[in-house]
Amino acid sequence: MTVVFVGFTVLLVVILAGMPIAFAMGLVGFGGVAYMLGWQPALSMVAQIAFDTGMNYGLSVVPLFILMGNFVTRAGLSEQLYTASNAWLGHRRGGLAMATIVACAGFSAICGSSLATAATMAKVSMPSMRKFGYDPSLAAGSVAAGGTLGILIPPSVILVIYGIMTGTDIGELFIAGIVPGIIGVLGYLAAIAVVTWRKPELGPPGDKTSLQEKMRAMRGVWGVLGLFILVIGGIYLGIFTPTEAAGIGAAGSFFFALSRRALTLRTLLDVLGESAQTTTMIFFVLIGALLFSNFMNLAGLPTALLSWVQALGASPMMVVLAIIGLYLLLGCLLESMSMVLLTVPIFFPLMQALGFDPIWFGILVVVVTEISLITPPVGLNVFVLSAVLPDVKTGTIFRGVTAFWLADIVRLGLIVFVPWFSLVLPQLMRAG
Amino acid sequence: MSTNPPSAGAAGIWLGNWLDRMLGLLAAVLLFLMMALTFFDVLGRDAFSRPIPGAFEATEAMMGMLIFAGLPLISARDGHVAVNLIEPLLGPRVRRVQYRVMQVIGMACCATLTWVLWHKAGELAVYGDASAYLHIPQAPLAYVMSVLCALTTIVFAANALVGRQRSGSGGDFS
Repeated sequence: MTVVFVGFTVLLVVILAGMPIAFAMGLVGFGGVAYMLGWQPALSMVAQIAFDTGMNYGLSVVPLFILMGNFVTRAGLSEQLYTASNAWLGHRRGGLAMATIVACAGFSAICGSSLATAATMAKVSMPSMRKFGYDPSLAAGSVAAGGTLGILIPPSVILVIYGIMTGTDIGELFIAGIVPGIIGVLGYLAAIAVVTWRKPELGPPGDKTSLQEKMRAMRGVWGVLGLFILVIGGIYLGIFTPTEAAGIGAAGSFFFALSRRALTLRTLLDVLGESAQTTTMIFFVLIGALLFSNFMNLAGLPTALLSWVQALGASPMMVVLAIIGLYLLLGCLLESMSMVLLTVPIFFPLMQALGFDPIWFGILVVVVTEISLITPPVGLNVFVLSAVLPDVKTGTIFRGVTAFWLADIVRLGLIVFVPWFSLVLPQLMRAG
Repeated sequence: MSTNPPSAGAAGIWLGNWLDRMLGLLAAVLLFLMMALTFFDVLGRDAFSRPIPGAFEATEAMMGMLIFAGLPLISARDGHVAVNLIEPLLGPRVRRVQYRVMQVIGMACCATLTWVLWHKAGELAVYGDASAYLHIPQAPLAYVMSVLCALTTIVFAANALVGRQRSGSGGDFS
């Protein structure tokens, strides 16, 4: 076990020293395997993993979903989503912030990334919240928190990666994210209601709209709704595999962007190039993580962890709570995708041995990751926002996020203690 | 990500904007083809019961090329995910050293990757490995991956020599 301990220590040190996470995990994994088996096996492992990870059909779902999100962003859909949710919610106290949450949720239904959701919605919703005199902390906090929904409401890049690493059905994982996503939305809305009830001056009501205006505002949204229903509905009914759904979704959003005249050859190439680069980024972190987890498996960490837990006599639920605690802690330091890639191969075998449902654990991991996105000091959503909104201080955003963070903790409790929320839809899907 | 990728920095000068643009174009075309292929495959299968034969294998090959074509691009843009916790605490001098050290490490990693992939390509060529249906030979794919890693090695070397030209973005995708 010493080798595991040394491996983790080195990994943490080099990551904190600013080494790209892909290289850090890859190097430590490679070094560990070389130490245990010799150079030759370690080198051929690197070649094998790099080649196979690149040439993996199942993983093509990643670039396609990224592409889908980027096309829809380019089509200017975020504005219409916000206009529509604003028409329905804007006149309430804190209504513009509520509209932000709902629009974020709608955007998440096309986009599998939390940071992209936060960055996109910030540009749309901040100006009007400013106009109506919203407190910057509440305004930015609602965007940062709403953005986290991106990785829970399907499609979700993190769930894809989780599914591939653990051999869990990606379609079922996607469907499982829906109910917890809705709970997330309701929790955030409640958080806004409570905050503005205590301090109404933070979020004054916006303009009232007539039913006619409400319906008109919905017009721009049908396209996305249709795309979501096609993609996720197709997965739910078993018509498409997730990879096929991603291809359909990407092509659909391409036509959607075309029909809005949002694409020139130049912007098309931009969107494609940007999506390709994001994909490369994810894949090299994935390759690094696979090297590292090979090392951990070779060193016998999962088995050792299990026997340690059994020797302690801890109840399975205590183990889950300990893991959640560790995630919340790690989330303060590590970027979210890397955290998932690093930890899932270690904890997943343990969870399975303790008899937990792999889908439930996947949702749990994503919800904890969402929380880490808005937890200081490395809450990435907050930093993305401060990049988009240079005049709002990071501290102000973190202050505004507190209420949402509390709502998240409540949601986490619900998901941990009531697995039904995560499992009911996948079960229905299997039965159908 | 919705933020536009920043233009190539130091390494762009070395790598040459031409190469950068070509690789970007290659990645874009591959991704578009993957999308179109999947779309028509599913459409053909569900609407006409005629899936595209070998779509699966073609997607795999394109994926492999796409990922490695992107590697020099993101490396030239400091686009690898990294944690920047201590960076703000360092003085400008230390920060410059830290940046260059990281580039050298990246260079070493990519050099290794170049070598092992080249070696693997050789093995694949000897055994004449090809995909089952379309008979796509695997060795050339591995050779291309290796060459793209070699390019990335040069990018890192250039970054290490020239130093940082712009503040790194440390991309992210969650």
